[in-house]
Amino acid sequence: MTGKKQKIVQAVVIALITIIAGTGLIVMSNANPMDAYTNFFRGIFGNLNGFCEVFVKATPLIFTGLGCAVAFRTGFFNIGAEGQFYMGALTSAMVALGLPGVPGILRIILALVIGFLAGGVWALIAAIFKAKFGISEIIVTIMLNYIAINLIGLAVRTFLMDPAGSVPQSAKIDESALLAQILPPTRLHVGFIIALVAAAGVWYLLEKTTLGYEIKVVGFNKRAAACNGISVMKNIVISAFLSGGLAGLAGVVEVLAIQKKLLEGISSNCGYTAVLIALMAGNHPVGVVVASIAMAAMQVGANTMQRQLGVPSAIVDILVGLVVLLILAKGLMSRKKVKKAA
Amino acid sequence: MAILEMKHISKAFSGVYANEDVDLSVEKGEIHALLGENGAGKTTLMNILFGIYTADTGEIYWKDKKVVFDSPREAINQGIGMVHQHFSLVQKMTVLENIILGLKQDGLFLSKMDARKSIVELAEKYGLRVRPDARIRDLSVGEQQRVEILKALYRNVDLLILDEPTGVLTPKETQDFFEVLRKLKKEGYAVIIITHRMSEIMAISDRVTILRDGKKVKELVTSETDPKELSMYMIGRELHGEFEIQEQSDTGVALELKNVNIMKGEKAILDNIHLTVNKGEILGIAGVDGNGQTELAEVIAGIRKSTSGEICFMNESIQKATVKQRFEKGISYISDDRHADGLVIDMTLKENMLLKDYDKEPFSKKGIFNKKPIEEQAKNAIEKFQIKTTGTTGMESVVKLLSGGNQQKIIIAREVTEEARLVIANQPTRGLDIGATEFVRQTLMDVRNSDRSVLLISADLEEILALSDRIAVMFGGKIVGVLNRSEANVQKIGLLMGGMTKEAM
Amino acid sequence: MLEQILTMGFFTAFFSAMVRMAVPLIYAGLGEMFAEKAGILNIGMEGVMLSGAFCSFAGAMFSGSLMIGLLCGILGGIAVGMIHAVLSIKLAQNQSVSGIAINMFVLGVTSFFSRILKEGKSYQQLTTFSTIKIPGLRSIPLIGDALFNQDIFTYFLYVLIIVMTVFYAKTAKGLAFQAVGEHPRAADAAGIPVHKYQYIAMLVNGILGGIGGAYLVLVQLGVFTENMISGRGYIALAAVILGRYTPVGTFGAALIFGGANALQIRLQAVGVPLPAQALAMLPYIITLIALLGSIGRSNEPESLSKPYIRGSR
Repeated sequence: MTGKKQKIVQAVVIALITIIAGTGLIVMSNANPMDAYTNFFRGIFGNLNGFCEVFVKATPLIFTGLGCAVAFRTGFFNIGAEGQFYMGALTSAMVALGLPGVPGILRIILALVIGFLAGGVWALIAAIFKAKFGISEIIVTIMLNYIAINLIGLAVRTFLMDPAGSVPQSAKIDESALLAQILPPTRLHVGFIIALVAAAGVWYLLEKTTLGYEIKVVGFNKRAAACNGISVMKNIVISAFLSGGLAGLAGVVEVLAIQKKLLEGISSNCGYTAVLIALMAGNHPVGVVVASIAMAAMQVGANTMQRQLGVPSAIVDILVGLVVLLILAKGLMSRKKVKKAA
Repeated sequence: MAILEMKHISKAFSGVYANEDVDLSVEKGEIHALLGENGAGKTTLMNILFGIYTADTGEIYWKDKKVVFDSPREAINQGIGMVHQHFSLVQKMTVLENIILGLKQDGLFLSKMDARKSIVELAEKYGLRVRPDARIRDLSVGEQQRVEILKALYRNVDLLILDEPTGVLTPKETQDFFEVLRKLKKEGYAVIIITHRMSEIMAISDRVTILRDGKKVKELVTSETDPKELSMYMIGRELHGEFEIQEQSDTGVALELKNVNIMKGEKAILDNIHLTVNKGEILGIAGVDGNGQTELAEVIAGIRKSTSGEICFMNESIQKATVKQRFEKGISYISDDRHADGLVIDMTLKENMLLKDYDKEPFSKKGIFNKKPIEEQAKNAIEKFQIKTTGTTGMESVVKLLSGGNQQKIIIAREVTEEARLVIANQPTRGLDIGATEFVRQTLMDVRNSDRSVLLISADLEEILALSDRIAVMFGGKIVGVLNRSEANVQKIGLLMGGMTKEAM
Repeated sequence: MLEQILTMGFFTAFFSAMVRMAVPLIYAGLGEMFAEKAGILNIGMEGVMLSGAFCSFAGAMFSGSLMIGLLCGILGGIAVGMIHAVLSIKLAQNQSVSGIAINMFVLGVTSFFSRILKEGKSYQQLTTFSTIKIPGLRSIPLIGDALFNQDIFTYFLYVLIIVMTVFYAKTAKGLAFQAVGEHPRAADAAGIPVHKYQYIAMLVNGILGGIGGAYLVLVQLGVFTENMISGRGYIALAAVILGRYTPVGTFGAALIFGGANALQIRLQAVGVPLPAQALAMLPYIITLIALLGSIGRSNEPESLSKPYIRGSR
């Protein structure tokens, strides 16, 4: 069997298993699968609101997914998108709330820049640990995630706490510093456009620039990079910084467009989901956009299933986790095939 | 009486024989040397004996019983121990812990006291000085090797296989090591020593089995032979050059190495290298793999740093220059490991062609690529070097899908440019078919004939003799001899490759 | 304010809370340490614990027996551990990717089925394991309550830590398990079945992680809530590093993590307005500093998260 054929067979098998598992789960939650799928698609395509919600939910995933993809390209296993997201969220809230005299548009731009830098620096810490001291970035980024999460908790209880309220969250950001909605009353906002621009930018960087070329070489073959005069360390550090910056933008956009204030738990694990998105997308920017939108669509559809039929929306996590596990396990399939042939 | 008989052993890897109908017989109390060039099949044969590989055909008789070992564990249990070139020691554990690792214990707990006693006794008996409670990571290579030997002895082996045991040792350590071997022999152990060093074979072994191209060519009694005969059997063919060597005009020195050293701990990997390469010359570096050739190439190309010494290129010190700067000055490198060093096999032909020049005009300007010149360069390379790409993809072919010869052509197209004033070619034809080999050799010859220089490193003597104006031989990190083309012959080089400096002169 | 803190009562309550907070982390940490010392990095520990928690709740609820609940929790932990084992040992996949996928998958599965389980039923609370007072010892001032007025899980931990310490220091098997994580080729050459030992290590990882998760349900809360592990699996990873890959060290590190948590609860109880997060952040920072401090002589197993395939170098 040729490699291409085998790949297609594997993809079909994975898709079939996922659909069967999904249907099984729907049945287990006492719903009619036909009804469920109808609701699922109605949730996505049934009205403008739902349809736009797909892109709203895809936005942070695109940013963090791009971040992971850029880092993975050099072999820097950044699983700290979660923390980098929060650093972006924290600093953007500080900018938006802390400079009341400054015009809104300036604050937005400033928030995007500083949020990018904050996320980047957060990833840079791990990159320096790795490049300078040889410490695994996996553990360091996890630690940094929890430090960031707690920083947010600290901020919304102290210096950023809404003086008018008693809940741990910041004051509301004034309208002028919020990212504009594109299609009111839907929540679709300019952030989605920024995400697409970022994806295009990442694509351009990776495909059309010498920096992208270096990153690619380092990712594929560190030894060849060194033998041909390309600095492995420099490129790991740069890609980590970009990676963190992109994840930071996800936090900025979430604060300035959706939450309109800073509070805890706003990433809803998208930093970890991003790892899987980048993996499924083969670390390609276009793939990241597609996978993020697909993932968001599943969430929107599943939310409708939950509202209408009581099918728990956690079904999305199950199926996405399952798909990645099956991708990892596809070796089991091909091995059996080889044995049969022999 | 032979304790080990290997009969008609054959083993093929993807259709290519690594061993073909090999016999080997070893007696108790004998040190048996296994001699051969790179790829002659020595290590494969020993891995079969030790249960790492299984032979396709053939039989192994161990103590008169037919055996098949499925794993190293079985081999050890039956009394065969092996010390690999790369030691199998756990760095964080102590000597004692490493020695008793994996052994069946009486009861649940480790009886370290008993073990220590017998280890110390064993060590004293054979002069294997070790400190039982030292951690491996704190030991010298020589000490670690003694631990490996003790580990085998502690498991009550009767036969000890040693794979290139002296390659990592200093001369003093080698002498100590030979003492140990002599004591082992006296106690009735059988020892197989894989080596390419003639002096060692002459000094320590009783018999020699010589392998060539996977086949056994001869078994000799050491006392009845001499290095000349050994090297003849090892290389085994009359070689002759096919290239017309044009007269060269004396145009001066291109590259000069003065007293270059690379130390790895106590051991010199490059040992006081003095070398010059002239313009319009191919300097061949002969030697068995692993005698410092690759390190020499990398130190010139700038990939590796020297511990001391000076390197001058075109009368200018390049000691501090980076890989990139050296390339810009005209030093090109064709690595012996094209998949690891020279190519990014997951990227396309076009992208691989850029590996050195991607950040230069016209290929890119201010960090942005320029499509046209890049594609032109790739197209020219494909045409000029007749690179066969896969299907219709042309320059977009992913390199790993190309044949070895075509991969090598990509490297040559990239490295052997008009600006290249010195081409370091490390095993440039290894693994290539005849056509590709011819092409590579002709390219190197063309470089020479245009008054530029080539440093040709090859374990293939035929290649060295056919192409080189002068031939330097490396052994143990040293240049042990430099011969002019007229005075070089297989025998002399063979002896030098085995470290027999005096006999060769 | 200070007088309120510097009292016996405060410290007694603090130490008790510290141990209680630490116990699930210690179980998970020991399980993680066991796997990592054999070369398998299980970032999916979060998922292992979550599965243990959910299965123990479901088991106890259906059977009405806490012991069966515990057993189910262990089995739930093993099941998740084995997914990771097959992917990382047999299929030699990237262990970090596998771990993250497992966490997401298990989060989905447990959330999904806990919804189904609770559907149409009133709020269910299990009666939890009760504490067993050890006479005499529990009267030791300050720490008596913390150490000797606890549940059976805590007492079992004391045994477990001693057993594991002895196992690594004094037994041939302990040596062998470490060799597998340090230098699998050497272990293989010494006749140790590398993959088999790694599967066993992941089995232990699943069991202990499962108990860690079950503890939260069966001892502390009596109920399963979605995502109730909330990062404890990741903390366990940190505890292993901070504990320098030793059982006692992991125990100590988990106590520090538990202590930070307990301290903020106690401080809040007496009305000190220090935000919890300031303290909660500390252990992670300490871990990072500890990582920097171990440069060069790290205790991390050499072959951690590198798949072993015989014959390849």
